[in-house]
Amino acid sequence: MQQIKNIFPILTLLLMFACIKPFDPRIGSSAENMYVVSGMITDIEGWQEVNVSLSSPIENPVYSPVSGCMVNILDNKGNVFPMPEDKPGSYRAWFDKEYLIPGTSYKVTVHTPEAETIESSFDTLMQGALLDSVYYILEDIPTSDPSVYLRGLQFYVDLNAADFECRNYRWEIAQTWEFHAARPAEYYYDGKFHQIIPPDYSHMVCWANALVKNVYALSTKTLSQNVFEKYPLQFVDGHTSSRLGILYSILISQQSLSAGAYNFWEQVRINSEGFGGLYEKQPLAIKGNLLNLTNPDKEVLGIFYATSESSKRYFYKDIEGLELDFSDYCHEGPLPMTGWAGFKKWTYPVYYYYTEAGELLILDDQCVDCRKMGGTTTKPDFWPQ
Amino acid sequence: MVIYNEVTKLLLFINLFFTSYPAPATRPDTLISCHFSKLPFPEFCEYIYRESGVKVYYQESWVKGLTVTIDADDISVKSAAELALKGTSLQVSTWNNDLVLLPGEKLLPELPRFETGQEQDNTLATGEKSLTQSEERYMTGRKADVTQTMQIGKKGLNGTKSMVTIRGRITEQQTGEPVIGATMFIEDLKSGTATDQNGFLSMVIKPGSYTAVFAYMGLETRKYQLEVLSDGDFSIEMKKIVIQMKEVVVLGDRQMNIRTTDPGLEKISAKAIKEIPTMMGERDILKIAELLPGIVTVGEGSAGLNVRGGNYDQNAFYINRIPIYNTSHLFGFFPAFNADIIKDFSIYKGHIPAQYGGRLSSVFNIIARQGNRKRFTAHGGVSPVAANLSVEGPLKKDTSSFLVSARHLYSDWILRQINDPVIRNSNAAFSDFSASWNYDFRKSQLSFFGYQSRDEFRLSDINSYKYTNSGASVNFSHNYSTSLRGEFALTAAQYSFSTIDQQEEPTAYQHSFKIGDYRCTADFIHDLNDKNTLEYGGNVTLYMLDRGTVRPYGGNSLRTPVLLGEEQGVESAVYLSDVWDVLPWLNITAGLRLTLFNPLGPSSVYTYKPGFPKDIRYIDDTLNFSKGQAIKWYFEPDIRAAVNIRTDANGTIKVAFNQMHQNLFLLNNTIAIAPNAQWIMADYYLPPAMSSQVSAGVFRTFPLLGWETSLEFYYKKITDYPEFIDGADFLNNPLVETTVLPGNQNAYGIEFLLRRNGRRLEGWLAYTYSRSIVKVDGDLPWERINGGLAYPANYDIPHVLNTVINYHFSRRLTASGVVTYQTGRPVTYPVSVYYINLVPYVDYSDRNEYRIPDYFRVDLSLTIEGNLKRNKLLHHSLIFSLYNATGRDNPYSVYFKLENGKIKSYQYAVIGVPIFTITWMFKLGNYAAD
Repeated sequence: MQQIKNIFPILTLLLMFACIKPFDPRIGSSAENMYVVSGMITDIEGWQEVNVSLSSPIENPVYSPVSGCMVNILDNKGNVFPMPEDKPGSYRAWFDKEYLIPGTSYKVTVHTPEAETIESSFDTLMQGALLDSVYYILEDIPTSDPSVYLRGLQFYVDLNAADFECRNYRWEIAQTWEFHAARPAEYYYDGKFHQIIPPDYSHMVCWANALVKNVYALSTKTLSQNVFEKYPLQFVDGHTSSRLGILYSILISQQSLSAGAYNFWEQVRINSEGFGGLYEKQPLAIKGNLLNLTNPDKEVLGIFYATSESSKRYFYKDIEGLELDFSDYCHEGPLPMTGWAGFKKWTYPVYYYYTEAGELLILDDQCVDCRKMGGTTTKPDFWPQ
Repeated sequence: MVIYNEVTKLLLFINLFFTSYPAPATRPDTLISCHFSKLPFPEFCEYIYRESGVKVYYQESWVKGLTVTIDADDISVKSAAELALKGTSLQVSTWNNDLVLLPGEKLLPELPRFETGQEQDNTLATGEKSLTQSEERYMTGRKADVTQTMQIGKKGLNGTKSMVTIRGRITEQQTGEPVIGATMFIEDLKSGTATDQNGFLSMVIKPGSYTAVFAYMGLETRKYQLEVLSDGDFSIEMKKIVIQMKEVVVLGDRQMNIRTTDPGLEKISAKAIKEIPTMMGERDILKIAELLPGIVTVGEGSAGLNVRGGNYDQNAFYINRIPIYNTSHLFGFFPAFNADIIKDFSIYKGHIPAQYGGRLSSVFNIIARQGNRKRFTAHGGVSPVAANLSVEGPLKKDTSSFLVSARHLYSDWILRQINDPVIRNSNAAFSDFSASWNYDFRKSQLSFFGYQSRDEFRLSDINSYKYTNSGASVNFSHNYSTSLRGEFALTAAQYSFSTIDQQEEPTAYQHSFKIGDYRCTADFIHDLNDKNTLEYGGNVTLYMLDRGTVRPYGGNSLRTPVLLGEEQGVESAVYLSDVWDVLPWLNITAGLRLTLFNPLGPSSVYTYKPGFPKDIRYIDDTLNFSKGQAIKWYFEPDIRAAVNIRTDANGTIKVAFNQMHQNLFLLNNTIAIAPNAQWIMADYYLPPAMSSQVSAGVFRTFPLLGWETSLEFYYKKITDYPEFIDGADFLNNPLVETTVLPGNQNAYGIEFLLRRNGRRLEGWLAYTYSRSIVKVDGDLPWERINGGLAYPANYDIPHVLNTVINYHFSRRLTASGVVTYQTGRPVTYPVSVYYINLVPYVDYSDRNEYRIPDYFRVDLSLTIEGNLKRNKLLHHSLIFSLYNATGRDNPYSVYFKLENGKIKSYQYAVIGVPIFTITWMFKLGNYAAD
């Protein structure tokens, strides 16, 4: 497994004198936008999706989907599956189980509105092991202050693929968690004073989703067995975010990868981990499996691969031994000197409340509205009551 | 007859002030006839007086018991006296038409000079002479200010030869050690030569009388009157100069003109090494080498040097013939060589003499001291992180000596202070050790040198790492005649490392690597005639590499062992080179080196399907080679030519053409040398690399001002140098041919150097403009890097400006400063962002298309010497050193991380704060002791 950097972590010895600080590269590149085709075929019956977008310059990263493409998936048995556009840049079709047999190879072709044809190579769907166990260990990770340790949950996954041929796997983790705003909405000012009776709790409970951005990929080809214990996943603590506050859920899916797909994800992992350190290497020129047939010199980013997926959902709450001291980002303060008249119209409504002592404190919006912190008040269907 | 004593001898000298006319028809030339047998000397003198009126002045005690036997009809009085005194130490001098006898000395026919030192037009007048002289005498005792005469050879031994060869040996008076690179300049012939590594020089010359000047930086220049009668040997002792700054040593004029036909030769003195500030107060000759033109490094923490656009494995490092494969301690922050034991350090980068081979870009040759042959002494030093000690002395006075030195780093106490908990639980240590022993026979010299350096580093419980350089050499040199000298050496060296990686239990591994290098060499220096000196010889080197096995480590590791394999090879070479003084102002060196490299079996080599990449999926067949069978025959001829044109007394133009081959490479795909980089050999697929370099330079000295300057230009082409495929994995993949591609490189540059030595304010300024461009463009798409387009090498640093300034306030106080600036090294930046599943990823630009910010650093140091008392047991000095005085955090790398969906860029600086250290050094004896 090459998750571990091959660079020697000796840079840390010199941390006593070294420093890492933010930097403004001022690249000003004129890199043209490149096509990005990403898609995955899983062995789970249902919607299979292919995504077509354009890359954007690093100063202005933005997701730019490409609409109007003609996308088809072909398998090595002669079947063609057209993929109509569902959302901008997103093309999908329903695959029945009979077409998702392990051992089948698939490839995608894309005809862009600019009359360019992009094609991937065939990728074989390999039967992969089922997701074994995912667990956490309460760990204290050291920080730069020697007396301060950050306690949290370090998640691990065990791979048990001894009976399977496929030696390359990847894990994707989608996190969902419930969090609450600090207070219900009760009093507010929008030029006039209002009191909501009863207090409005409708925006106090939210759910947030976030994909874990790190790439977790593993190959056991250098190991004597197709088994791996304690592959580290994400680290979640009780201090930097509110995830462990109420209820935290992860949907972790284990994907089997062919050798080509594994190489791609491993290169992406290495490149996205950032470098630095004394012994950094040149960044890898990542080669996906997509080729622009019309203009072979133009690089196409992304990858199309077939995978056998096995997922499980886990819920975590009330972790014993873990102190929760995350900030709820609620800032409250007394009425400013400018008084009520000082509030501009575009800040309305301005929420406030009375403490037990009767003091009036102005509340930031996120104190009463959890949506302001990136949540949704729609409860996910898998959420327990 | 009159008898004289010491006082009257003094009067004699005083009298000579007033008699400056040459004597007219001298009575000592009168012819007399002598037929004596065992005549007592006083009676002989009486006879002379009666016959010619010539008086003979001497002291009676000198001639006690001396009898004279002469049988000649017509012999001059002076010759008769000389004959009579043959076998004694008495010399006959003419004075005022009489003869004076003096033991071991001759009276001068003209006024002696009174300046201290040389009287050439290049002499520099200095101010505080009188104070200096008395202080100097205080330190070192009186010295006579007289040109001595030295007789070389014996009359009558010459035969009918019109030219004879004289051989001299120059040693340092205080220690008896041979001086390397001291020059002998014969003014009458306007030519000279320099001493070799054992202190020998030789010259083909017509018999006669010559004025010779012997010079070496740091030693008092000596002037001698040479009476060359026949082939003969002579030896000279040169004294160390105490008051260095007053001494007029102009490095440029003679030393460079004579000694070096190499436009790219750099020499660094031991004193410079001590005074220039470096990190942690450690004296590091390689860090100082970085301040010279043409030599760059990619940053702190990078152990490698890049010379004239060459990668860091293209430099050969030798210490007393032992090759060193890893030249640094602790990732390049500390030197592998104890500066106390270094006598001479030369860097060849323009014209590399034919006796060296094996690397493309440069040769760093370190000669260690042999040890004081006159008395026992010790040197040492303590700095916050390291301690060193060297002990030396004579085993047989003037004939044999030894030198033992050791050094050790103790960093644990510093690491405990660091905030980072991983570092707090780490440790780093290194040590090195050297021993030398030598013995001088009448016509031969035997020496033995052993060296070992070890490093150990453990980062908490994540990684641990150890490496060792060790070697031993036995050197025997013999003077066959005054014109032929041979040197034979046997060398054994080994470099090994082992590493344990425990970051992840299931993949934890351990790996050990070892390379053995065993050589025997023979080198001859042959003075063919007065215009040609031949150097020829040969060597055979056996390489044995054991790339080791990557094994699982720890109870839970599931890693499959990977056998990386063993390799062996033999490199045989012969060379011939002629240094030809065509004209007094034109000197040509023409050399040819022929090397044969054979990788040897036992070995199994895969062949690959034609038209497919070299990849395990496309293996076609296997070729098997048995033990000792040559896998390949690589013939490697090299031309090494240089032309030296002396335009005038103060300037030369040097042109050189140099070809080199390289058979060993460092497998390293990081930008700086990683500690676990393995060496590999050229083999069935990997051909040797070759370089051709043309260089031209103009050198000029300004003696009146004490400056020397040089401007050099070079252009180098390298072919078949291995470049690594993206993502090359050297630990899991034993097949090197699947991870490298043959690359071509073009490098060119201009180097400018302005230097001032031997004054109160001295130092140098070096500016280099250089480019280094790589291209890997094969026929097939997988045989290309960067799409086959040329890209700047990782160490392509266009502008480098280094300034070193030493100011000697007094004998005891020296301040030193280093200012260094260089363009940032190239870097590959991410230039676009793309999304997969709404997760952003980065895509990178062309390789090395951008540059990280420029590098600028100022270092300062202050050296305070102990008192100047004459009689003391221990002399010590304190060195205060401030590294990176401005505290600039020069970025070593710039990298990018995805954080919360945004690209954040960071710069990583290895040293971001000023580092202040105090080092204490001592030696036995007084300030002037050696």
